[in-house]
This record gives sequence, C-alpha cells and structure tokens, in this order.
Amino acid sequence: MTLRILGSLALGVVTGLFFLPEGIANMIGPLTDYSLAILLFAVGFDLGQDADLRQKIKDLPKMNLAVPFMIAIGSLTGAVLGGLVVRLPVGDAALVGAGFGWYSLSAVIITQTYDVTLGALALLTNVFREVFAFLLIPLVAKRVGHLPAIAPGGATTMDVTLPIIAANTDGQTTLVAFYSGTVLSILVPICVPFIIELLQHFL
Amino acid sequence: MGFAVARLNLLPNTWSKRVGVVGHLALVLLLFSMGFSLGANSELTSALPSLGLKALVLSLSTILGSVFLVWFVTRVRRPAK
Repeated sequence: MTLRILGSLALGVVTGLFFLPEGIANMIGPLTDYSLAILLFAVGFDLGQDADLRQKIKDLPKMNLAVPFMIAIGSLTGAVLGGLVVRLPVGDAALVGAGFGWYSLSAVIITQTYDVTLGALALLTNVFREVFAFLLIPLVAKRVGHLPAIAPGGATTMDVTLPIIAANTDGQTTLVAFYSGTVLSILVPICVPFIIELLQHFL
Repeated sequence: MGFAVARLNLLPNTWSKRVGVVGHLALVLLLFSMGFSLGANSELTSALPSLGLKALVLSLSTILGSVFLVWFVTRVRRPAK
C-alpha cells in the first residue's frame, strides 16, 4: 500500500515536472478536491460502521485532548534543534516549524509579512513533512504506537493524511487524529503571525 | 457525510468493501494530483536546489520532535504495558 502511494505521488511529481499540458493543469485542482472528498467519505463511512463508536469516544483518555498541543510543542522544538544543525536562527526555525505541515498557508503568511526566502524554505519544509508523513505514519504506527503515528501529519491529519492514519491504526486513533489536525490547523494562522510579531519586536 | 451514510444504513452492508476500494483509488488519485501540483509548482522546484537540504533536515526534525513528545508523554502516563 505504501509503495502504491509513493508511486502515485512520484508519478505525479514527474508528470508535473516534465509534461505540462495546459488543459490537464487546470483539471488537477478539482481532481484533488474530489478525490479528497471521496476519501473523507470513505473514512467517515468506516467510522460510522463501528457500532459502539460512542462508547469508544467516551473511553478515550482525556489526555488525548492534549495530543495536538504536544505535537505543536514537539514540532517547534524539533524545528529549533534542526535549525541548529543547518545554522538557522532559532526564531526563523521555529517559524518554519509552526507550519505544522500546512505548507500553503504558512508559506504565504511568511512570504508576505516576513521574508521571501524563509517563506520558500517553509514551503519546502512543510511539503517534505507531508510527504514524509505518508511514509512514516505506517512505520510509526507499527513500531512506536498509534497515538505517536498522528504526529508526523501535523495539521494535515484532518484531511490528506487522515486516510493513512485510518488504514494503519484504529477508529479511536482516527478520531483523535481528526481532532488533532483540526486544532493544529487553527493554530497555524495564530502561531505563524505570532512568531513573526515576536521576531520583528525582538530582533 | 460518509459517517452519516454508514450510521443510517443507507447502503447495504455488502457495499462496505466497495467503499474501501473506492477510497483507496481516491487516495491514489489524490496523491497523484498532489504530486502533479508539486512538480508543476515552479516556485517550489526553483527553491529546491538551494533550500532542499535545509528543508529536508527541518522537516525530519519537526516530525521527530513531535513523534518523540507524543510517544514520551503517552509512555509516561501509561507505564503498564
């Protein structure tokens, strides 16, 4: 399954890079939207089939509510540490990490209000994060645990990476992932401008 | 919506497998189209040579950081396993 996923991603990249028929380029946007809609329908269908879902939600430890915040803090810390390796200022690294995988939004905010190069770096980093999420979620789910498997996806676990989580973990984890992705998606447009504000005031 | 359909039993049970297959196909399509958009994004491909390595390190470190923290906290809270 992972192989097929990566294969289709790679095929898409190559097609986009080397063959660029005008007509098809315009169709890709809707194709993304519709396939995502169908996918989420399938995930929802799977969850709905579970008869004792309500009980399972009740059984979820309250701690699960903290999962997105742990992911946020972990991402920022990781970004700062990674920033030390590539010699990026702490604030800039945190800013890139605060995209939580939502590349389009964080990159746009950074490019427009802070710095173009850093915006490009945020774009690339968060694109990579999403791609790695597809790769790593199955691995983390198997080797580390179901809840940690939500982490690589960051903000994307409410849509594009949700099916991967659903396929590799269980219904409860899928729900936590959806919740977590939603919270992180709300956090991106708050955290990114906030960090920019801090950077502009103190540097 | 899929959730509601399953809950209300709008589709016969035999359909659940089909929904799974359709979902899988949609996933493959989604990834292809995402890959296409990435490959066709000139802003992205032009930044790749200069910033690629940095981005690679940062993306992996953010993932590692977040996975580690969730793992660590869940482990501390539930030591019995």
